[in-house]
Parts: sequence; structure tokens; C-alpha cells
Amino acid sequence: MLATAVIAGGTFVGVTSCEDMLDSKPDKALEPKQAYRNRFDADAAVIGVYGKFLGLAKHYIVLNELRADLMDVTANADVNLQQISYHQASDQNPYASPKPFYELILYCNDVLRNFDIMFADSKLLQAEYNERYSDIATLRCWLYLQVAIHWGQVPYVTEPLASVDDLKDLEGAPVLGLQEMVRELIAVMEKLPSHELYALNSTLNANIDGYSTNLFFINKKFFLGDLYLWNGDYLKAAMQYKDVMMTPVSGVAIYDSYKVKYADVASNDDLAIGYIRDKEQDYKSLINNNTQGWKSMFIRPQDPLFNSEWIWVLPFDSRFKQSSPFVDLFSNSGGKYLVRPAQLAMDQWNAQVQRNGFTFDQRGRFTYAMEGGQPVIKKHIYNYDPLLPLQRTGKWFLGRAALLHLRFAEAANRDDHSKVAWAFLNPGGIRVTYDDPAITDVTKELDTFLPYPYNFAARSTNVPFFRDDWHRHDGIRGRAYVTALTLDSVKYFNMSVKPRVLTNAEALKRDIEDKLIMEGALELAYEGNRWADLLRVAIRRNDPSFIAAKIHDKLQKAGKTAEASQAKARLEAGDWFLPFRME
Amino acid sequence: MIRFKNYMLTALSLIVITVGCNEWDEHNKPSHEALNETLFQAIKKTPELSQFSEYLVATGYDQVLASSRSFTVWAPDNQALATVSADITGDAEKLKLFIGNHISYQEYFTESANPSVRIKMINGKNLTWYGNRLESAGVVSANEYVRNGVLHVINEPVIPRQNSWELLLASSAGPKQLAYLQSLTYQDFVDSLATQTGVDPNTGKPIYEPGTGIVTRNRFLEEAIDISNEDSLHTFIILDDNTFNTEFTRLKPYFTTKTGNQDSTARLASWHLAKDLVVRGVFTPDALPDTLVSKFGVKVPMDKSAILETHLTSNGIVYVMKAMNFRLKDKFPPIIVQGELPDGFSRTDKNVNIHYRYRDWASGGADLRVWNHGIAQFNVRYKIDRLYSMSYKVYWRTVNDFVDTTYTNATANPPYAHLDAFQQKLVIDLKSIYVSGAPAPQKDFNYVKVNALKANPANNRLKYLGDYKLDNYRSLYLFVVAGTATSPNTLNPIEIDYIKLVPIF
Repeated sequence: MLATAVIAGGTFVGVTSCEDMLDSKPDKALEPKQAYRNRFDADAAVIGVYGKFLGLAKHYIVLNELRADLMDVTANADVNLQQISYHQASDQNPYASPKPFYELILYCNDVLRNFDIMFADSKLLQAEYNERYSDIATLRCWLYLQVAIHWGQVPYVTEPLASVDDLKDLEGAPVLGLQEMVRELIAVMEKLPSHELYALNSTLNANIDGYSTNLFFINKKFFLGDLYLWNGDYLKAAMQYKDVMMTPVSGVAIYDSYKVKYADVASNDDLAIGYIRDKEQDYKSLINNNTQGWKSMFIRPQDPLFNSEWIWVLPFDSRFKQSSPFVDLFSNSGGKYLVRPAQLAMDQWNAQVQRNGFTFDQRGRFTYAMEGGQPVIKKHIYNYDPLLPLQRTGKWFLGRAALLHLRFAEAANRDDHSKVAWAFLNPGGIRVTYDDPAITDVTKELDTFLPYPYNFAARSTNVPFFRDDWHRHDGIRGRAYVTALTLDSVKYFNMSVKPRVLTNAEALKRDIEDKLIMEGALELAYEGNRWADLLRVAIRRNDPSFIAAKIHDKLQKAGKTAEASQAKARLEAGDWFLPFRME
Repeated sequence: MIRFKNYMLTALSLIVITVGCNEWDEHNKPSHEALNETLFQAIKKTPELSQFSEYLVATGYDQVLASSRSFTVWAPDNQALATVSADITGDAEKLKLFIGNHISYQEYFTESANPSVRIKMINGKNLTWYGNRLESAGVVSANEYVRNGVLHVINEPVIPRQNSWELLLASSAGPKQLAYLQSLTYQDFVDSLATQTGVDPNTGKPIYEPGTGIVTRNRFLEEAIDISNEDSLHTFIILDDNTFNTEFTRLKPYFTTKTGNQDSTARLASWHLAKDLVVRGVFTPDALPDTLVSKFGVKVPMDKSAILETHLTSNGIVYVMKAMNFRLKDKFPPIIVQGELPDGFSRTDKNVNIHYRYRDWASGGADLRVWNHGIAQFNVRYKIDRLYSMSYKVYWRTVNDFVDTTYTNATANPPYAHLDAFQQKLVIDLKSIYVSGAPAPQKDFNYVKVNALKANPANNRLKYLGDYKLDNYRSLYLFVVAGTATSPNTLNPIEIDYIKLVPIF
């Protein structure tokens, strides 16, 4: 009653006094001092950060894929996208602006300071503070790593600034290079009070409208593993990744969750490239629908199978007035069709051989499709229906088990466990790689017999009864139904003695690393990891030609000969970064 | 107070603009007087175009040219129009067609032709504009730009040409061919063009006014190339009666029907001859190659010494010829039946055993395999529609590369190691079901061994199975039949890339 009276009074004043109407206080917005009063306000702040984070999706894909070797521009692309693809970005290029990243970083800084204040004022319990603070701090670290990957020398600010206009003030901040940044971020991450997901009883761990909110938030261990991998701390990286692999997932058996498990050949209820049983030779029996097989992981709702693969996903749901930016970017029917798969990428898929003898990789045909004579990247827009052009539902895919496995394999390979890496890559996984035909006692085989984090066992026998955690593991190429890779052992081992002796460890590591990076192209194309993967390996090997040759190949195959040689010269000189501009 | 000041400022600025309006009128006024007159006015005031102007009035095109749409007019001067025969100028319909041949929609300047552009005239005919001439009529003065278009003056009339179909109908060069092509004309009823007068109360179907909705069509124009369409560009060949007869007689034996019906045979052979007498693209005598290729992929030999007449038409070129030596092997190309496109199978419960496989080496990129079916003489059926009555050499291509599909062996390298040979046979019959034993099928090629692949499958060549003679023009069934064993699986699979029938003349 009182409220009504006040509103009525307010209206009256508004009508009579022109000046007051103009200067009226907003009644639907909060002053900063009103915003952080209790746990629910803190939750709202976290959700708010991630809501704003969604706005980076397009920027993120363009920077990480179009700069790399698998994505190309179409004839519809403007000069800005072309510059990104050709590595000629001017400092006026909007995609070359780190401003959206810094806006979010400053927002994180502000939220983090307020969490500190709330904790000091006892408005948050210790556990509540720990998980929320660690989440936002990790996201900020992730943003800084992105900024450092793309811009090289960047200012590092952890203090909140009142508004985005203060971005100019970044000039006073310390400027860190990529390596310094990685070390700084590791220091920050290691000091965080929590590396776990939101607890089961947390108000931020819920199931809302078919979405499990836990998948919205960054996985701290996964990201810390990435930082260690950048920094060359391979054992530490492998440990973090291993911990993620062993994280229980609600509703999913431990030997299915994050294990890249083998195809269910009887029911085809899996995430594998598959054909109907006993009809593997028949192209008409390909499992190609929205609820089964490899393709379905990009389409299916958040059911147990989805949760067994995906680690970090943010939704764009048209029911909540969200709109996927990927429709404009990728679709040629209702979208603007600005980017397409590079010829290089398509050739790489077509160079694979499937285990039924078909000479292509079906993952490629699921990643892009020929529509109206044009190759269209489909991964992100399967949920979009051109007949309902205003309903742009989709997801921003940020992390999944296959990525985790390839990163783990990269770390294991560099940590002198090339055989474990090999098992993660090839068909049959641990089960086949550690199967010794000479041994009949299962307790003596099907196991790496290595200490943590390389301890994997894959037995599945009834007498004696074994169902080891990794008995369904199939390797990335196993699940993708492509043939096993081979290594020329003579190059790396002295085969004249038994057991053979490794003689050229570095060359072996490089060979396997090349194959892992290639597998990333086949499995994870356009999911936003490519540029970072290439750059990390190039820096690790101190070999700019690793990245330069790939970009050169992409542009060369696209018929851009001049751009190809320019980009090659530039990248070979170690000029990997975008011009840093901030205004 | 501040807001009020703003109002005052806005009001003041409006006043200033209003006052300045007259100067803007001056500024916007067209500086070129010609831009005030229409095309018709421009033509009318030009003395050397007085005759053209009169014809415009006579045909009613003066009204069209006074409208606000944009046109280009190529006006022949009085001297040029004096050469036009009274046959045209005296006939209202012909005159309208003639005058319409000098007007087009849109504006075409001399620089629009780069080096030439094909323009649709207002009478529906297409003409070529070279910038300095329209077809052969040279430009006297060009690019006079008026309010609704452009005016060029030319020194020759451009007489509208017949299109190829009109030329054929009016020509006496090849009465037999003409009679045959006219026999393909039929009348069709199109309900959307008919006038509906009511609804039948009993059936609920519409009743149409008799005589409405009837459309005349021609099968040659629909299935070969529509030479009556002004927008098509083609080379059309008329054979004189003698040549038409000769070629017809050569083709006739291959269309022998079961009942011996000569009408059917004549119809089929005539179509087989006539369908290849038109080719896309205009091949003028100076640019005529010795062989053209018809829409149906048949090579058309063009002997320049056999050309009796050459006619340029509004939509192409027509040759009248006294010889046309089609090669029979071009007229009857080999027939290829792809393994992956079967008509059916001997049983419907074996889908799980029928595999359509992508194979790089296979014709069409895929083959067909049947595996593990457990049925003696299981067979795949193929159908060839309307096969010519003649003898054929029969070939097939099979590759025994069976990759085991169980997981452990799948990684074996090379994938086609340790395979077994098997047998299969080809049977040709008129019935759609293969039954072993009596009555015997038309042709049984007997079992052939398919050896296990030893090397690159791309090296597997066609295998010659035997000859087959078909007495009558008709449809035919081919069966690929598995071995007689029911087990093991390695003994009775089926694999077929393609079957090829090569005519023998």
C-alpha cells in the first residue's frame, strides 16, 4: 500500500516537474553498494560474469580458428576477417582489439574484490567464498591466457577499475609476455582456495531448464593442467588432467565418464563414429542422427551421454532470448556465411582411412557439410533450423573429453611416457596397447603398471572378475573408427637388442606430438583450440616454422599464394601476435 | 529554460532552411534541356526520323515511349526505312513486330557493349549490340540521353528474323523431318489456364468452359532443345528427305518390336535420329567444328561439304544438310549398370547382409557386396529400361577385397590380406525373377571365379563374360547370382562394381 502511494506520488512529481523527470533514479538497477548483500547476490554476480562471457564466443572462435590452419574466409567475409586469416591484422581491426577481454577481466576484478569484502563482512561462509572466488579468479586467468596467446605483451591488472572508460589507465600496469604471464597465472591458480567444481549442495550447482549449471563454469583443474603444459611442467599437467578424467559425473558410470569409451556396437547409443552391426561395409548404415553417434554430441540435450563427454559448455537458448552468434558466422542459410572449412582441413579428413576401408574420416563429414554447393561448418549450428531463422539456439563448446585426452597425451609424451600417449591416440586405447599376446594371466597385462598419473588398467574379465576403470577406453582414433597410426620403430629404437632400446627420444616425441596435433585437427576442429595448440608446440620446439608451414599450406591451398608467403615470412620471424591497441 | 532555448534554436534553423529553398531549386534544376523530353518527343522533333516517328504512332509504341520506364531506341533514319518492303509496312502485325525490333527496355549505351551484349527487344527477339552496330546496322549517331532512355540512330532497318522453329515450319527443305517433328505435337489441358464455369454437384470436381485451358506442346521441344524459345541459343540441323531416310533405315533394325509393329519401330527410330539433330550453342559456318555433341552426348559429324543451306535465325543457326553419317557406336553407346544401384534382391529379409560400400577404385565411387547371407543362389536384380535389339558383348568388374569388419582384424595392414576366392554368375532374362532350372533363362553366363585381391584393386580390369543377342527392343533384367553353397560365408558372397554391355554392329 505504501509502495503504491510512493509510486503514485512519484508519477505526479514526474508529470509536474520536468527536471525531476529527467534526473529520476533508475528503479530497476542497483547501486554498487547495494549489489553484494548475501550469498544469492554473490551467485548473481557469478552468473552475471558468465552471461557477459557469452559475448566473447564469436571473438574467441574467430581468433583461435581463423588465425590457425583449419578455417578459411568465404567471399562474404569482410576485410577484417580476411586480415585475421592472412595474418595481416591492422590495429584498427575490431577482431584484433583485446578490449572485450579486458572489459570482462575488469568485471572479474570488481566481483573478486566484492567477494573479499563480503567474506570480511561475514556475508559469505568460508566454503561459499572459496568456490565462488576460485571460479571467477580461474575465469580471469583463462581470459589472461587468451589475451597473452593472441597479443603477446599485455598489461596485467588485478585491481578493479570503476568503469571501462578507465581502460586507458592500463598503461601504468605491468606488461607481461606470454611465458611470464603463464608463470604468473600458475602462481595465482596454485594459491586459489579451491580447485573443485561447485559442491553438490551449492546453489550454483543445479539443473535448470534441462541445463546442468555445473557445465557452465570453467574446470579449474583442466585449466591449471593447460597452464602447466604451456610452462613445460609435464608431470604436473598430466596430474591435473588425470584428476579431471577421474572426476565422478552424476548419472554416469566411472568407466564411461571422460574416458572416450568404445562404440556400443549393439545399440549404437554412443558418441562414436559407427555403422549398424554387421553392416559396417554399408555406407547406408552409417549412424547419422541427432541422438546416436559422434555427431550427436553436438546436438543432444544434456543427458548422461552428453555429460560423459562435455566438460565446459555454455548454452545459447532461444527460449531465453539468447541468440547464437555462430549462425551468422557459419550458416549459408539464414546466416552470413563468413567462414568455411579450409581446403587444407578438408583434404586432411579425406586423407584418412576408416576401418571399413572407406577413404575418408567421417568426423570431417559431420564437422562440415556441403550445402548448396558450399562447405558449411556445422558443429555449432546443428541446433539451428533455417526454417525457424529467429530461433538461434546453440552452444559454445569450450572443453570435452577428447580435448582432455589429447592434452594429457601431449603431456605424457613429453614426460617420457610416449606409449601412454600412443594408447590415448590409437584404436583400442589402453586395452589394445597394453595387451601382450604372450601373457595369459590378466593380472599381469592390460595395465600400464605405472605410478600416478600414468596408472591405467583396462581389464574386463569374469574369472577372475575385473571391471577396471579404463576397460572401455578406445583411444581418440578408435572412437572415430579410423585406422591405427604406425610409427617406424627403426628410426627411434635400436631393434637389434631385446628388449629394444630407445635411441632417439626427442625425434620419437616429435613424431608422436605431430600426430597428436594432427588428431586435434580431425577431432576438435572449430572448437576454438587450434591456434593455442599450434603456438604451444611451436614455442616448445623453438621452431616458428611448425606454425608457419601450416598457415602457409592453408593459404596456398586456398589459392592465396602471395598472402601465403607473406604470412609464412611473418610467422617464421616469430611475429605471432596481434597488434595491441586499447582505446 | 534550457529545453525552451533548444526549441528556439531548432525553429530558427528551420526558418533559415525554408528561406533558402529557392536557391536549392535552382541548384537541383537539370542543366541539360534534353532531360526534360521523352524519347518519343526526341524522335518526333528529329527530321530524319519522321518516318520512324510515324510508324511509332501507327503501332502504338509512341505511348510506350512516352511512359516513365527506361528504354533504348535504335531508330533507323528515313533513308533506311525507305528500303523496307511494303510487305512489312502494309501489314499492321508485321509492322508492329518490325518496329518492336528497334526498342528495348533499360538503357544501353555504346560502352554497354563490351565487346558485345545480347539484348531482348520489346518484341521478344534477342539482338546483339556491338556498340557501333546493332546486328549489321551501323550507328549514325549514338547515346542521345533523354528523360526516359537513350536514342541511337542507325542506317539500316533491322528486320526481325524468324526463330528456328518458325523457320522449320515454313521451310520445304526437309518434309520428312518436319512431318515427324510435327507428329510430336500434342495438346495438354492446364486447369489454371481454363475458365471454370461451375462445380459438378455429384463429384465435386470443377467444370471448365470447353476449349479453354488447352495448351499445345511438342515433345521434341520439351525433351531435346526448345528451338521455339527466343532465349535458347542452338544449332539446328534439317536433313533433306533422302538423308533422313538413309539414317532412319540404318537405325531401324535396332528397334524391332516383339509384335513386329512397324509404327512403333518407325516412331522409336525417328526419335533416335531426330533427338541429336540439335546442339546447344550457335556454331556459325566459319566457326563450325567437324564434330558437335548433342545434349544426349552423341557426336554429330558436321561435313561442311554437305551443307545445302545456312540460315541465321533469331535464336540460333539452322543448317540444311544432304548427308549426316552418324557413327552407330556414337548413337548406341555402351550401357553401364552400376552395382550399387540394384532393382531388387531375391529375398527381402537380407538387408543386414547387403552392403553399399564406398570404394575409391569403384566406378561411381561405390560398389555392392552381399555377405554372410546363407542362401543358395541368392541374387541381385538389375533392370535396363528399353534396350535396343542387337548383340552385345557383356563384361563385369568384380573386386574381392573383403575387409573383415571385426575389430581386431580391422587394423590388419594391408586390409585385404587372407581372403578366399568365391564364385558368382551373371544371368540375363526377360522375367524379373531368377529361378534355376527350367524354363532356362535367356542367357546364363555360368559361374566365374572371383579371385582374392592380391594387389592394388585399381588394377582389376573388366572381365569379358560372353555375348548376348536381344531380338526385340524391350526392357531386360540382369541377375548377379551367388554360389550354390549355403555356407561357409566365404563361398557364396556377391560383389559387383558394374556390368557393361557393349553393342556389336
